[in-house]
Amino acid sequence: MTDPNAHLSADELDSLLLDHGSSRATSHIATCADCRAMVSADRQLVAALTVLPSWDPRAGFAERVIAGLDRAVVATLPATPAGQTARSRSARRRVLVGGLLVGGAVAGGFAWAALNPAAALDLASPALQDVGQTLWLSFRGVMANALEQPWFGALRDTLASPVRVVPALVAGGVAYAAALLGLRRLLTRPAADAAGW
Amino acid sequence: MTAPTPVDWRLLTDQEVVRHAVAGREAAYRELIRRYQRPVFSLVFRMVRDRELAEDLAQETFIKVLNAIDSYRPEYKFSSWIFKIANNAAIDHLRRRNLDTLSLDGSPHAETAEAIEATTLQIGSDAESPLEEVANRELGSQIEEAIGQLRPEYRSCILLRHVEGRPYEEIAEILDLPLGTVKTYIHRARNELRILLADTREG
Repeated sequence: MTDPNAHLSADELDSLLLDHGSSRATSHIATCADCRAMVSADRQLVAALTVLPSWDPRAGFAERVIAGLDRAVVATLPATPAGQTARSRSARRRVLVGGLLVGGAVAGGFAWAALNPAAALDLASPALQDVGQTLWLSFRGVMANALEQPWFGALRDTLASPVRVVPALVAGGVAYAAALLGLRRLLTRPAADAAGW
Repeated sequence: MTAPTPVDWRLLTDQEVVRHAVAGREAAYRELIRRYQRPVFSLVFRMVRDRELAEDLAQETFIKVLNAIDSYRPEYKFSSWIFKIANNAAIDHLRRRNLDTLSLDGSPHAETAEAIEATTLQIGSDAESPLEEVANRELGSQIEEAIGQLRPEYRSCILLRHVEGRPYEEIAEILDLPLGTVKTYIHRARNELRILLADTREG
């Protein structure tokens, strides 16, 4: 049986802080000044702790977290946002139609210029003509320089022969794939158990 | 093809949001971040007492959790899991470096004196007098300083119990400690806080 004069145990103190102390604890603090003072001080402390403020991280925290996720996790995210609305589908359709119209107009302009080069040149400003001439001269200069190089003959022979170009392309592809795999391995986080359970 | 049904994330439990996250819905990831960024950041900030570092550790916590979301066991509370990882990150850091002496007045992002003043700890009711308000604000700062002087294990316990309001059982789960040890730590932490606060006032 518990000694009615014994000071409060930790559990009794906790239950008093939660306002459901046992009858022994309640009657004990009525007679014990030390325990009463301890309960009072703990109540004040807990009340002060309870109202301590909490803080948010800086704006953009969620974006930084999402950006920091493994590529494998991000890859599982749907390509389009879940729960698309009719409004968002309509907006996408408008963007698509607008893009097609602009693309068609640009392609039509090029086609017309190809068919009517003189008229196109007349329309273009002198400055544009100067830029075009400069670019053309630069291209010709680079090509003339390349043609004079000792390795150009070997390159031309290689490109002209499928027997030589196919192994070169395959070797290049394999090297590229190996580099990609190596890079992916470097960027993958270690598969540690995050929480230990 | 039918569009996915819109989800009112705020109505879902943590477990339900996690199920959507496991299925790869980015909105579910964002909802988990929205729910826990404040308590996780606040806990870590009070543990390490450095604003930039707390942000990095909180970010690291969320990245770990979301990367490992497939391994989450629904029989545990999600809050226990994320607090466990956050606390481990903070404790690991404290073990590596001793950063217990920085000031913790005001918001973690308060850069100017006005901002610090505006975000300094507010304790007490709206009805308090200016003198009481100053006294309570001072008490809040003193408590924060006193918490910073506790052992990291005591600090975790007292913050999870009395600031975050977590039950003892969950704290035991978060800290991987027996329930009795958690109770003892909290009891001792309160005693130490009382003594530290009394010393501060007498000093």
